This record gives sequence, C-alpha cells and structure tokens, in this order.
Amino acid sequence: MPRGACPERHEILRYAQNDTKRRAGNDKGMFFGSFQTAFRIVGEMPGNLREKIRKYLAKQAHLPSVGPVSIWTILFVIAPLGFILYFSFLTAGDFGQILPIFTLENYQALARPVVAEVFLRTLLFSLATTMICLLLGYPLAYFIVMYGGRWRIHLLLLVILPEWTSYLIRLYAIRMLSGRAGLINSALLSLGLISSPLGILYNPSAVVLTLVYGWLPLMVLPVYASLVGLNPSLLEASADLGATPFRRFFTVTLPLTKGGILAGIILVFIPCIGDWLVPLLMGGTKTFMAGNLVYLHFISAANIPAGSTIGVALTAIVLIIMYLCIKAGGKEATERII
Amino acid sequence: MKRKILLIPLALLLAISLVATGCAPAPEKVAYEGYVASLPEGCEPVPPECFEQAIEEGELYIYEWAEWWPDDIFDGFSEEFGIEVSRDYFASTEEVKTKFALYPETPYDLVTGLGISDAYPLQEAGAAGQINPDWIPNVLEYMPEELIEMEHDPGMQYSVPTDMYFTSYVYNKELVDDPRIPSWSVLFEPAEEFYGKVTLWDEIHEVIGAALKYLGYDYYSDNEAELMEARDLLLEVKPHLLVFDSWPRGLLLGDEAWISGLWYGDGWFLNDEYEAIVPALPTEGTNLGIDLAIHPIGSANPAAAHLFLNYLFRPEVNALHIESIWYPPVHTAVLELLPEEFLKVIALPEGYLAKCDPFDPRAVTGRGLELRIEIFEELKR
Repeated sequence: MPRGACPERHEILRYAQNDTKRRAGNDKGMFFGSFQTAFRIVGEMPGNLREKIRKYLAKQAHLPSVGPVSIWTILFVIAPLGFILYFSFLTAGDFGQILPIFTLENYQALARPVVAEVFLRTLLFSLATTMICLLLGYPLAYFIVMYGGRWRIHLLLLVILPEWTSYLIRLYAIRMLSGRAGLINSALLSLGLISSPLGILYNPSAVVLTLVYGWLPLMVLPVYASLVGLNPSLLEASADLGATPFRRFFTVTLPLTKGGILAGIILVFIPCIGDWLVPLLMGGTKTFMAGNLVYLHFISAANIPAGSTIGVALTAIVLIIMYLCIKAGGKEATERII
Repeated sequence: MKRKILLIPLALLLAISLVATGCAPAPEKVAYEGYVASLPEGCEPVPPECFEQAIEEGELYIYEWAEWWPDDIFDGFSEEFGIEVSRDYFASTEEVKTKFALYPETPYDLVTGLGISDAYPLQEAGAAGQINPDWIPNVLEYMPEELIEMEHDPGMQYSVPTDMYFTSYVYNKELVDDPRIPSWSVLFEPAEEFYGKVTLWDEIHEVIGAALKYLGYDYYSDNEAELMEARDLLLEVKPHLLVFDSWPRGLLLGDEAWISGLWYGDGWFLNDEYEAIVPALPTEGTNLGIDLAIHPIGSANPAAAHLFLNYLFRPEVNALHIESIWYPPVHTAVLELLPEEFLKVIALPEGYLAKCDPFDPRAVTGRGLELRIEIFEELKR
C-alpha cells in the first residue's frame, strides 16, 4: 500500500461519527436522567393511569432543564440586548438624556470611516489572538491527553488555575512584570542581554499577547475534551492500515476534533472582539478597539444611543461568526461550547 | 454524622452572631443642644429640623473619586453624629454622567468631585436635586460671594463648590530638562528625546481645552476653526504619545512616562510621593476649574447630605480635606490653618487667575460638544 493512502479513512470516520452520536445520546444529564427513571416506574403501573401519567410527563419533561436556563437567558442576555437595541433607535438629549424620539441617524453614523477602521482593527487583533491560541492550545491539549498519563488532571488544572484570579488583577500583574522597571526588563538588564529597557507594553503586540494569555484556556478546554473523547481504537486502526503518525494526525485526529477546535475558536474570538480593558491597559495610542469605541460613546461622550448602536453592530458581527462556526462545526462544536 | 457534628458549631456561631447583632446597643442618639455646644467657634449649626431628620435617617451614601478624599473626614462625621457613611467610587466623572443618564434617580445622597462641565449637564438633565440654603449656613458663611453666584448655578441651588482645580501637566525633573517649561509646548510639541514618554488625559474636555489654550484660544471655545486647529495639533502629537491616561500615577512612578497632562493639585499630590515629579502651571494659562458636590434627586437621606456639607465647611475639617488633596480651597477661612510650606506650594503666581478661563456652557452643549466628540474620536481611533 502506498504511504499514507489509507483507503478505509471514510469508513473509520463514519464509525467515529456514529460513536460520537452514541456517546452524546447516553449523556442526558441529571434532569433527563431522572425523567427516564420516572418513565420506567410509570411503565410498571396499570393501563389507563400509566397512559395518563406518561402523557403528562412527556409534556413536562423539558421544563426542569430548560426552565431555569431560559429564565436566566431572558433576564441576563435577551433583556439587556433588548434594551441596547431599543436605545439604539432613540435620540440623545443635549445633556446626555435618552429622549424617546425614534431615529435611524445612529445607524447611518455607522458608515463613518472611523467605525470601519476600528472594527477592522478589532477583527484583525481577534483573528491573530485566536490563531495564536489555536497554535499554542492544540499542541498543549494534545500533549496533556496523549502524554499526561496520571498527571492529566493536574496539568489541566494548571491551565485553568490563572482563571480563578480576577482578569483585572492579572492584567495589572502583567503590567508590573513587563514595565520598563518590571521584573522582565530588570532580569534582562542584569544579565547583560539588553542595554536599555525594552518597550514591551503599549503597542499592538502587547495587546494581542495579553489577549492570548487571557483566553488560551478557553481554547485548550474544548480541544482537550474532544481529544479525550477520541476513540483510541480508531487511531490504532489507522496505524494498522499503514498511516504514518503525521498522516494519522491529519486524516483522523484533526477531523475528529474539528468540533472542539471550532468551539475553541468561538470561545476565544467572542471575548476578544468585545474586549476593551486590554487595549486600555496594555495598548498605546494605536490599539483602539470596538469595545473602546462603545466606551467612548457610552461614557466619554455620554451618548448612550450612539454607544448602543455600535454595541448592536458588534453583537451582530459576533452572531454571524458564531453561526458560521457552528454551521461548520456542527452539533459537536455547540456541545463543546456549552 | 461527621458533617452534622461540624454543622452544629457553625449553626451556633451563626445564631450567636445574629443574636449579638440584634442585641447590640443602638448608637446613642446625639442631642441637638450637645451638637450646637460642641461646634468650633465661628461655625454655624444646621437648623434643628435638619439635624433631627439627619439623625433619624442615620445613613449617608456618597459617590466619589477613588483614592481621593481622606477617610478621616468621613470617620469624624460618623463618630460625631452616629450616621453611617457608605462610599461608592467612580474612576472618571464621565461614568457619573452615564449612570445618571440611564437612571436619573440613582439613590446617592451626594456626588462629589464633579467639575462644572460634569455637574452642569446633570443639573440641566434634572438629575441634581435642589439644595436647601437654610440647611447649610456654614457653607454660606465661608463661601466667597462670586462662587455662590456662579453663572451656571446662581444662588448655589444645585451644587456646592468644594475646591478649585487647574488643568496643567507634570514632568520628571530628573529626566526632563527643557527650557520651555512651564509652557504647554513641552506637552504638545515634545522634544524628540521625549517621544514615547508623554501621556495626555483620557478626557474630552481636558485634552481639547488644553490644546486650545496652548494655541491661544478660550479653553471652552466652540469656534469650529479654532477647534479644528486644536485637532490638527493633537493629531500631530499623537504618534509621540505613550498612552491616553487621566491618572498616570503608575507610569510616572515607574519612569515610563516623563511628561503627563494632569491636574495641578494631583501634581503636588504625586510630588509628595515621588519628589522628582513636579507640576508645571502653564505660562499660557489654563482653565479655572471648580469641583462641586451635587445632591441627586434620588437621595433618600437629604438631611444627612446637608449636615455633611455643613460639617465639611468647618475650617478644621476643610483644612484636612485640602491638605490631603493638594487642591486650592474655596473656603475663605482655611488658608490660615494650613502650614506655610503647603501654602507656598499651592499658591498661584501673581495675576495668574486672569489667564485662566472660567467655565462656559458652550463647550458641553450643541456644536461645541459635537465637535469635541468628533475630534476625540478621531484622536483615539
């Protein structure tokens, strides 16, 4: 057989997809699990009563699991977004008041070159961050799963650990470490590797690298989950069929972890696109992002309708990107995000 | 079982603490006569109805700048009147405007540290409640007449001045040797060796007002040609800036920033911490800023708010305030209580006030505001 041809690849992939579906089907969660038990008990009851209860339970089965989540989503996601959408069609008064006068001017103002420039920069920074996270996060997750052994959970814990500290505190810590008089510059100076302090902060690279630092765990976790869920017999089968490790990775491992990768991309890209703190604290005068533009109109200019409109545009971009990723990644990507 | 054994002492502890809180002796109510008798000489008491109501209210909610007014003022007030003071902090006065635009009845009793450009829009938007002059006799006693009758709020109906400020800049005297000091040109046309070491405020009115003043125009101008000239100046200096930051303390102390746009009082405040940081009062002049306290319409403790304002204008309390923030006072009798060294520091050069522009509403309304927002957006993009 020629090197890396692996003609059974499609069959292996089909089996793997069925295997993933089977596993997902078994994992019904606490509420669905308890309802299954209820159905089983009802099944042992006599005729009419059994039928009535079965029908009633079938109608109510979704409520315990969907109810609290729906209330939470309506209160803390839909309602604030609804307010922002509502404000975006109103007019700002001379003194920052929100006047109930309908207007489309705020949306027309989105056509300004400044908005396009800032949005483009935001997309570029977010894309760069996501790519770097993927390039660092995938090998890291792969290493933990394949070579972590009994230390796997401990290694994963090390990835998550920084997330337990406030984001703001971590940003200030980076500022202190990387400043002109910070630990990094002091160490390099005392080792004689540099003659004057490096300007690490207050530039676009500082913003992207800090974003990578902040959101890398959100790439590692879904990729880790999809790698753990990989059936080892598939890898063994592809090896038996003559695939080289390199070929095996690109023809079996990578396609089967596509859902995890796309979930990671969504989870990293979304917070990056709305971040305003990192450019504010780490960026200089050329790192103004869409979140900062929202802040400028909302806070500096006290023009809430204008700020809301930019917020709506930003949300629309995020939703489009999410839709495209979920469409490409399918059900697995959605599950990994959740 | 083990869990239950652990739970019992915890439940007991909780019960004891609840009972103890419930049974704690209520703070002794202060009598009006005692209050009047204990007042320092020359101070006016609030009327009995304000006093009784304030004691009954028992709480005071203040919204203020973080790390600014000293704790001693609030501790002293709580101790004397048994009124609990709760303090919330903002990082910029712009935050305050947005908060009150979203909900004008935000339930704070006092908001302090607002410039006129912040307080005036709040007053016009109806978020600032009326101040009862009969309840602040001490303030009226020690407030200069011209500050009581300011154009934006004649009769001090909606806001009470607490101190003065001047927009200026600071420099590190060990790293910056520029013969142009204290001209604004050091900040807006920095020498090449200071490229990347300069910071400007992250606030619309300060950054544009100072640029206008350097160009020889009014700090609060709404003239389009003048504002466009200021925009060009700012866009020219932008590539040489480190960041926009209104409180670049960390950058200055860490020698990252060598020249920073800052308020004059804050310059001396930093100088107290790091001697190399020196404030410069610009040759071309600046603005004459007045910090104000407002009493929002959503206040649930109006009497306590008035009692606090009256307390703040006791000379020794006001001296404590001024000495901590390094801002020039508005209180007429406080200068004599301040140390001579301190006075030398905050004193203005002879005739300097004539070079300072008082607040003009043209900057915060209509075309003046629109152009400022456009310029600021272009500058920050």
